Amino acid sequence: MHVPLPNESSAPHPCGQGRASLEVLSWQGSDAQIAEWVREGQPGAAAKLFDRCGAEINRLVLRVLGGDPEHDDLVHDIFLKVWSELEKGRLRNPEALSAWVAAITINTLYKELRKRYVRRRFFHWDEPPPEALSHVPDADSRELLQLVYRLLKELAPDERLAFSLRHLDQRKLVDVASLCGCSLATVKRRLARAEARFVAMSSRYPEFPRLSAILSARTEDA
Amino acid sequence: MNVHDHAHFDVGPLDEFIGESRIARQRQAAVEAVAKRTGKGRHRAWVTVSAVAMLVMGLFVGWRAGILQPTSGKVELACPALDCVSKETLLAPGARVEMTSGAHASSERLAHNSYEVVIHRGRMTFDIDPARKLAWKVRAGRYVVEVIGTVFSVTRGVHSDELLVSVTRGRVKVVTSGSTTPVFVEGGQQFYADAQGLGVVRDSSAPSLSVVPTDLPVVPSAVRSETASPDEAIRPLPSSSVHAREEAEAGSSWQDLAERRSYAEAWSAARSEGLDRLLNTLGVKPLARLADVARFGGSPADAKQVLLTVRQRFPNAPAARDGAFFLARLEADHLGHAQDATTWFQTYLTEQPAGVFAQEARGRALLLLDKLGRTSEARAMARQYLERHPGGPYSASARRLMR
Repeated sequence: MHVPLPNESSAPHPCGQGRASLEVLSWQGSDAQIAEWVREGQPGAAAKLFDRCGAEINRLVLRVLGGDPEHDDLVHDIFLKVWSELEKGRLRNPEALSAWVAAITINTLYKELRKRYVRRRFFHWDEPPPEALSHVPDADSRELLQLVYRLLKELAPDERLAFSLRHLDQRKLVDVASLCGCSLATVKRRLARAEARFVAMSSRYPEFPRLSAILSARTEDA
Repeated sequence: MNVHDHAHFDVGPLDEFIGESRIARQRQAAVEAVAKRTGKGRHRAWVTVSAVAMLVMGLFVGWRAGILQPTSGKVELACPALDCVSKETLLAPGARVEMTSGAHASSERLAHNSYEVVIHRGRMTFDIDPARKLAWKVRAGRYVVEVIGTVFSVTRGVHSDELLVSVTRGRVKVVTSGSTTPVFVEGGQQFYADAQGLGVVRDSSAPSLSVVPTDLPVVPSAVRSETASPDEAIRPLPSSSVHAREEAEAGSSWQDLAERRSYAEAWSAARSEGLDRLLNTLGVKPLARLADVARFGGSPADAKQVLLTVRQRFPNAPAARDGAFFLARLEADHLGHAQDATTWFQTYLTEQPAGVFAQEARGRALLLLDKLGRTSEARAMARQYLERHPGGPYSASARRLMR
């Protein structure tokens, strides 16, 4: 959902990658300027940083986890992590703020997935269903998305992350590799494993033929 | 959206989850968290720096005051008659003590500002710095000498209740066990108490008793009060009595000569008195003293004989157990019998594994065993040495053996 603000630019910021309809842009300074303000502890820097990258963080968390009850907490943690790292001057190239924030988000999500995977495997913890599904008006789509996220829970964390970025967030393979911090070959291997597993699991649900469409949609621009 | 529509799959509907209100809420929470975090961080850093500074200051003050210095267990102090003429030790900051040959004592820190030294035998001269405000107690048999800052010596004779306190500077308080009346001894004065608890306070300029009195003379019975309690008995004696006593002790027996450290003459005198008679009649402490005299008089073989007699006649006496160590030293250093020396060192360690000379015995034994080619025993001794005395003077040799 996109709500235009009075001083909002019509061009989407790189942070938002121009794909989602979640951009809330209220200020048009450069990334380097924001990074500098954060380091200096300028008042208002937090709001500006969130305006710049909050949407992208939200978007990535939503795609990977499907909007579960911990969504807001995760976004909050990621933002504070970004702030803390910026404050310590760990951003080497201020112009690459967006990619850097995305990398921190993915890294945090990977840790979260790994934690959940371990809890599920060894402590029989049941991951709560995505809360966001209640916002999907169409019953069929809701059912399908519910099934997709249920199957994704069965994947290993690194595979699930690569699969989500590739097929749910519709990223290019090089982007997925860059975000996951690994080589293209590694991402391909992970994706191959994840897709094979996903296909195998989805074959148990012949009543949902659109499950396989998730995979076929991206094969042509690999 | 149709479930069976094969060509279409979109997660876009999920984006409805992130509405404007959610974003605004998250933004507000993020801004507040950062504001709180920044303030808290600075506050926390300030508190941490203050706490560390206060802790360091507290530790420094506590250490200077001695409160934080650990109370220690007993420390054995010895100046073995065969090895040592005098030994100076720093018992604590501002507390120096000098032990004369044959002295044996133990020291213990009772509290942060309180120390106690127990003299088992011999003479110890204390130099206590009054500026340290440390309370020192020196126990010698039934007497306790209390002091804050002074220079004084305490001598305990072979008979456990004999005592000589000689004060050079300051003032000490001598308390007899079971008594409530203390005796104060000022600088330049001496306090002497005999085996029966009779005491005198007199000027140090009077003929001295300060030579190591391993056998302090008994006060003549004429000056004793038969009915006096121990408290009343500690009183100044007429100086004539003191002179009479010192004249009495001026006889040139081997013991007198030994006290004057004329060991060769003392040994000659002892031989002239009849060595066999002495060996059969002397008590354990005079016999141990006779062994010292023989050793310093240049007769190690005779010293060995005397020590063997001590062990034979008084097998349970401390002097007999220490004798094993002295026998070992004699065998190793003067008689050249490494094998026998090793046996005696091991005997001493068996009888007194935590004795005053145990560290020295272990060190010497491991060197001798190595020299004799008894490598496995030497290594076992080296291991034992390193376990018990890792920083001891023989630790380097022990480590070399263990390699």
